[in-house]
Amino acid sequence: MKARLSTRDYEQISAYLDGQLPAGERARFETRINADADLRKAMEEMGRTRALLRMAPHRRAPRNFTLTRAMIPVRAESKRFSWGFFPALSFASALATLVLIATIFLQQSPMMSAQPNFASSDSSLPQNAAPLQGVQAAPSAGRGATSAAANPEPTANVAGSQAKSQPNTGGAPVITWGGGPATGMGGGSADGIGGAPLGMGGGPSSAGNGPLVVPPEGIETLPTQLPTQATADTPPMLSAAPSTVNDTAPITGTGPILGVPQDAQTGKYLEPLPTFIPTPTPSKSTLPASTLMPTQPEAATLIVTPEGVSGSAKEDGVDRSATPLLIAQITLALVALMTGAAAFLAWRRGRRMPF
Amino acid sequence: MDEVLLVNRARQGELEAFNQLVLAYQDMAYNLAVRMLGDEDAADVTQVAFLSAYRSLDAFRGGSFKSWVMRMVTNACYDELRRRKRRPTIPLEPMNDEDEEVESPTWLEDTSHSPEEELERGELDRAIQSCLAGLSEDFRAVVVMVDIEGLDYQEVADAIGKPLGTVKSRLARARLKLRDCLRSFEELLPSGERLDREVKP
Repeated sequence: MKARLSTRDYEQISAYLDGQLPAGERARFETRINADADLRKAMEEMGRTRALLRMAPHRRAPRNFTLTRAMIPVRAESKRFSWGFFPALSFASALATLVLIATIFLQQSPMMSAQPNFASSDSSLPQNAAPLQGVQAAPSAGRGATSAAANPEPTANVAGSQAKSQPNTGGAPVITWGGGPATGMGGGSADGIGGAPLGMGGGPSSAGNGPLVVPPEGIETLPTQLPTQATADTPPMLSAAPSTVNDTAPITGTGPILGVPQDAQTGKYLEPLPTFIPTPTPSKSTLPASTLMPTQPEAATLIVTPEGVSGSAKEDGVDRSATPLLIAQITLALVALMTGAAAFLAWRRGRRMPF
Repeated sequence: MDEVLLVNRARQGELEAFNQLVLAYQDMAYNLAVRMLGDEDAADVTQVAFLSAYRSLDAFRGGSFKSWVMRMVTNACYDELRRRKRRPTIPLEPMNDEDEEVESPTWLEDTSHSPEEELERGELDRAIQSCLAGLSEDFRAVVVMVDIEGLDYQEVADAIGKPLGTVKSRLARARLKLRDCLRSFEELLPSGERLDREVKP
């Protein structure tokens, strides 16, 4: 009998005994009972079990369970508080998590990664060993190469002052290349005279013990006249727009030359350059020595823009954008964790609340 | 007794109003605790359940207050059972007048029956309690509330926070297990309720 009756049959028997079967189902079940002796016997046995349970003696409460004021000094204010705030806490946690994910996604998106600020702030860049702030030692804030050459003293002073704060320790100069449209990081002057040809270079960096150190001798070897054309030694970024380069002036000197990275550095960190010199310009521009100041305490990134080369404000942008973003992400992560933990605790305390 | 009025007054801090509700349901609550836990700790758990009920009155959204109280008792019983699993103890039987242990606390039972009936009811009570102890906690709670406490399916569903289908399923399976278990107590059961008797035509 047991094997023939299913769990469903016993559920129907149990519900039938309690009068909980719907009318139609009850009629069909009664028809089955009349026709099936095993089912009828099972129902009889379960009916007796049910009757026995209902005969079980009821215990009287050994005492009254009434409450006194002494038993309830505090009416669980904290419990109701935490349970009441569970939706807000859980929502805040979810929102913070979403915003955090969004910031990370935006940071990793191609649009954002193409920005020189983010490219420079990438951890793979050696400049991170020392924050990039030496660019303004080069033609500062849009000062053109021509104007800088005409009056190199101011930029030289700037570089010199920075060199004081962080002396150069020597090493190979590294010209870093960055790119970014309209970021104001060109080295060219506003009038464009010292623009394109001179813009093809990065500021030398002397990043202390990092790889971006510039030998002091590089200062002396710097040509005062900047070759305005790329040659066969043109770095990849320059070769990206070879038609714009038509100056064949030889490059002399052993130090870093703006626009011509050393062979060791050729090909390094050149990909982010998004724009380039649209039109060739005469090589009349001269490179101000200050733009290549090897004593700059920190690495520089000169960005070639249609307007020219400007090495200013690049590093400021890096620090001002990347660091706050990192702080924001950390803050969001902390907020998400804390609110999530609070929501979990509230849920733990409130889940046993009836109804 | 106007339950809604008493609940509202209790929410406003009138402890006396809540205590009227306690007096109305304390036997039922205690019975559930006894069937779930045995006699040990049943009174303490019942007290804790009523205290929890009062402290969380603001969470009561209406409906059956009886179901709500039973849910509080069920939760308190689950807590106690978990505590016992963590810290198993040897239960102590109550003492009789001769300072001897008695197997079941008959001194708490309803004594409105004849001595013969009391004897049978005592045996039946022990048999049922023993078989209930063999059920899982979830099955035990459902069958006790339906067959011993007399709650309907919906009240039990509200008390355990499960749908009606779960109540029906658990009840049927609990009754099946109890049927098999009670067969081993045939000699203890009232003669008219023997499970192996012939099925009447």
